Amino acid sequence: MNGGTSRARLGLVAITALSLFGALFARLWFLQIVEGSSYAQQVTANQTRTVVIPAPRGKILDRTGLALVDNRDSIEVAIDVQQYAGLDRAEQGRLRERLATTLNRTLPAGQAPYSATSITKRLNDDRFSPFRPIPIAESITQDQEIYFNEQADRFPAVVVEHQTVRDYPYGSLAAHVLGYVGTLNEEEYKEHASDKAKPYEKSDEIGKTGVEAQYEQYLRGTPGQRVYEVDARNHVIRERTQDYRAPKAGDDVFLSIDAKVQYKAEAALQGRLEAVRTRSTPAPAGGVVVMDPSNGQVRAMASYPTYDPRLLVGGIPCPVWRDLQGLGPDGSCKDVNAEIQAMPASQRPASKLINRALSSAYPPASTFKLASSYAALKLGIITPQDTISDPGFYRLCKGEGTGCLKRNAGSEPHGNVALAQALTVSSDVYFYRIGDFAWSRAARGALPKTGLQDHIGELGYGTRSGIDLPGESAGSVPTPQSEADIAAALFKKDPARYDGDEAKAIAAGRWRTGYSADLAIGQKVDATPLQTANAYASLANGGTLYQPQVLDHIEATGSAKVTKAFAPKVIRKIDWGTARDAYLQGFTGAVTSASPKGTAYDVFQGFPFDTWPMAGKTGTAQTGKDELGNEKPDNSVFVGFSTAPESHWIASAMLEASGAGARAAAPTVRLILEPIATGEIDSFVIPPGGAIDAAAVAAQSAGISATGSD
Amino acid sequence: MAASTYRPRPQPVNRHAVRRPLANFRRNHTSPFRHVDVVLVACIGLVCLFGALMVYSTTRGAEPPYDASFLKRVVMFLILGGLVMAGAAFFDYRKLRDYWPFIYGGSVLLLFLVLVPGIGKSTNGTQGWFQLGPFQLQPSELAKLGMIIGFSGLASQFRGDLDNARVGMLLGLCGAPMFFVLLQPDLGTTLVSVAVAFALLLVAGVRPRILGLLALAAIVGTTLILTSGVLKDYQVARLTTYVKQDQVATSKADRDLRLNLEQAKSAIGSGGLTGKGLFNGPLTRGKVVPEQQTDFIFTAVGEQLGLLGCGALLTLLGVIVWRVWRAAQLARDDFGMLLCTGIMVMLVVQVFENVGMTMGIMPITGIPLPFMSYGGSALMTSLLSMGLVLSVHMRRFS
Repeated sequence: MNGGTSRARLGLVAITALSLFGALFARLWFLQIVEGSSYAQQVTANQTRTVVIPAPRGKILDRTGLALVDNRDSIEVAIDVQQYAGLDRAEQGRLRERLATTLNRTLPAGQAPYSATSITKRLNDDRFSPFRPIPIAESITQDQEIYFNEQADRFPAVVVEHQTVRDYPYGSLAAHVLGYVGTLNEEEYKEHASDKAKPYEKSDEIGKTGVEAQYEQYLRGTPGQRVYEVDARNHVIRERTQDYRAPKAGDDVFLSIDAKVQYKAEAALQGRLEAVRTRSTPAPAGGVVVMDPSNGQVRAMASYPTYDPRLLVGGIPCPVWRDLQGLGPDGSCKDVNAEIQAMPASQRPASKLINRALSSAYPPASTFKLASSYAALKLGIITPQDTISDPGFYRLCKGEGTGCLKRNAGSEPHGNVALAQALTVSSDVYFYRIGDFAWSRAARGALPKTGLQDHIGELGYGTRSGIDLPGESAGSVPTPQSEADIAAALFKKDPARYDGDEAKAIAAGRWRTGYSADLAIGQKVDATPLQTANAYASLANGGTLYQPQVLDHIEATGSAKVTKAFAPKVIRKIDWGTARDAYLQGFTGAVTSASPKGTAYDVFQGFPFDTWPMAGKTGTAQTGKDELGNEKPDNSVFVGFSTAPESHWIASAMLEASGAGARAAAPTVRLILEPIATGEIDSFVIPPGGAIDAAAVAAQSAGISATGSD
Repeated sequence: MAASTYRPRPQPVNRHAVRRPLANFRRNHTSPFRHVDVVLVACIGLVCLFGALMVYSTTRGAEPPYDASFLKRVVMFLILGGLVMAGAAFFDYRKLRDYWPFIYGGSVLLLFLVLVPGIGKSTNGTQGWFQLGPFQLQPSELAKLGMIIGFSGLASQFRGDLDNARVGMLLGLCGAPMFFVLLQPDLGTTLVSVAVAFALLLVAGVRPRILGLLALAAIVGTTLILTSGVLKDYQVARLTTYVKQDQVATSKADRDLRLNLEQAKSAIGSGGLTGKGLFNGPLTRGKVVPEQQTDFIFTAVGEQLGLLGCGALLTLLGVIVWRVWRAAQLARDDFGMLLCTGIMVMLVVQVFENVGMTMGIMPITGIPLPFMSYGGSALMTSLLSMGLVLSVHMRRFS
């Protein structure tokens, strides 16, 4: 080896080493001095993670403080998708197997066992957000929780979490009023993105319907937060206790609903529907409203078919969702609406989610006579004392067609009737005359064209009552303008309907005397059971139309501090004048008068009128023809209210396709009001879980005579 | 080079010098113990203490009670390592020249054994450790030194007369351990070995033309290995992530490494000029930067002590490198010179690679920072090699 060469080459090595060290110094200078400050800023941002602590929602209670919606703790097994994706395939498979086996060890009776495939299916279910652990099993036992925590090494990516979930001690009781909660959808998330006081996470729950939605801002708790310092793998190093914020539970909402009355109303509705269900009257659905006329508070609101909100806790499985729409359990949940739209109108299922007491408008039939006669009184067409002769039919024009010759139910003649008797026996002729007179006078300009409708509207028909529940229907009261608009819209959409002739369309949209006559007896018009109840309430209380409310008051949880108190809201005053006595006499007669025989006289035989005087009105609504041209079964309508000054009850019932008013709706109202009248309701205890024995109620209601007419 | 002459080993003036070093130290001016490189020893000591302090800072935890278990082990390693270094210094390196085949052979054998399942232990996909009770032995660390000793021994026997066959033998000698290390696979150590071998060939006097060819072969080989699919995803990611720091991650391994690198750069960058103070690094005091007490310990220095601390550390390491280089220059024989050269290059490459990777200018490989990183095998090898350098240096006149 040449010493000189080697020493020279050693110099080369030294120069290389020197330049490498130089490079390190240069880079160090760049990082720490040139870019140092920007890195320093970055550091504070990436070392902490904020975890939101969800706050429990407030409870929903009835006016007596009975919890209708409560919270319970649920221990949930979930899989952290991000961690799970980090496992290799074989490990994922083993984990699924192991998890299924472990969960099956303590499977509640009747529940399908878990399997590796069912877990895979759950993980791929797009209902669950990938940003938070996907729940595999809810409500596991505490022993299992301990097991999973002890064996954490064997269950990578598996997390056990405590969750507060909604609990419904009385099952389906008041389900439609209470509503339910669900995970925010995309639109709701956008809408609430700017909420500062109670910010929403994507996985949070929000009230979807009913009181849960209406009073969301009160019920929702204020989320807390924990701030952690974390390492590069997001492992927690320690908590920043100074940044901790405790979650605050939402406010408790006390409803004006009386749980006992609510139970009685639901039982009566369901039981009566079953009792009258035959081939010709399928009685599929109905709605009931019970109110306090003195302030507009709703005491009960029932809708059938109903559902059990307990099934909706923690995500709604597809078969349950289809069942809620009234569909069979098998099939896709992708486009349920399209599936229903594709069905013939008569075969469309009855959705269980609709609150029929306020979201569905039906012809109010004879119960509407209150409104039409009120309008006639205001227009001066009648006075309470005017007597007319009712031969059982009324001729509007020459000819024998139904358009010209209008008949009473059963063409029954009622003789000479004034307003009170006309209501008691439900004389249609009396009211056809009102319609006829109103339109013929309007046609010659003696009255405004919408005179009848304007005064009817004063009682709340045709507009939303403004009740504090979402999804209310306004119903409809047709006017000459609205008829013309409908014809024009139909012509525009499908000119062939009128042979492409616009003049024909205009002629078809012309208002006719017959329309006014039909309107006067409550056909051609739609109203919700709630609107009917509220209009009669303004009569019962002497002349105030209140805005119905289901809220009694709201309290801050745990402090009994009232955050929102009840205040009655007056829509307008109604001046019944001297006619009120005639009305009360007529409606009382409908349930108590043997001669002339009230339409619901038989139904209310044996009712304690002497201690609890009441009045009512039946209605039998024609619902038109189905696509085969057959008359569809009548809807049964009834509204009844106490007439004693110190008593505050009114009940309105509507039972679809159940026959005459006296057959279905009147017995339903009796089943609701009688326990109140006798005082039996005070000692009544709601069965555990709110279970309704519909067959027993049906049997009880069978004892009520259902004869009588419209 | 043929002109180089064989110099018979001079006999020590005092035959007792080796056997009774301290007694001899006072009397004999030619005694090796009068020529110990005090600067080198001092710098090594300072860097080792610095390392112990940083290991403690990164492992003691954010809040009391502080965890001193890592510190205790480091101190134990240091005492043990100090003894090893002293032992190596006392030991006459020239004896290695006679026994190099055994040392080299032994280290290659260990490399082979560690690959045998059941004997060697696998961590993070690398089959590279022996479990000896509570301790782990990493034979690739020892093998680097084994290769240097082997090369120096063989090359000094050739006495500079390097024909192609002899260059081939030297290449084979370097290739065997590299092959086994690559099988583990431990890319970092392989790369260090390649650099060391290249430098040794250069200094041993291999002709520039052949060196050029070898460099070309190394580049082609590296490309082949990277593209052939022999390496696992995460290994390719390690080598390529730093090249494309501003691009979008291509795989999970790549993404993890990027985060790793980002955290490391953030830690160093946020230290600024003076750092956040010892024990006060939000990123390196906790566990934000992974491997912070081992491969990424430089980030802790950067965050907590800033440019001044890093500069001081690199300067100390630079002085050590300089003293080793000086020992190579002053060595009285080729064996000693080659030995020191190999050790110096090994040191430089490891420092550059380790510090470079934390700052994003070198690929991320599992190379510890000499004297600083927590880890027994690496520290022992470093201190053992320093002992050998001291041995060469102090015997330059004897």
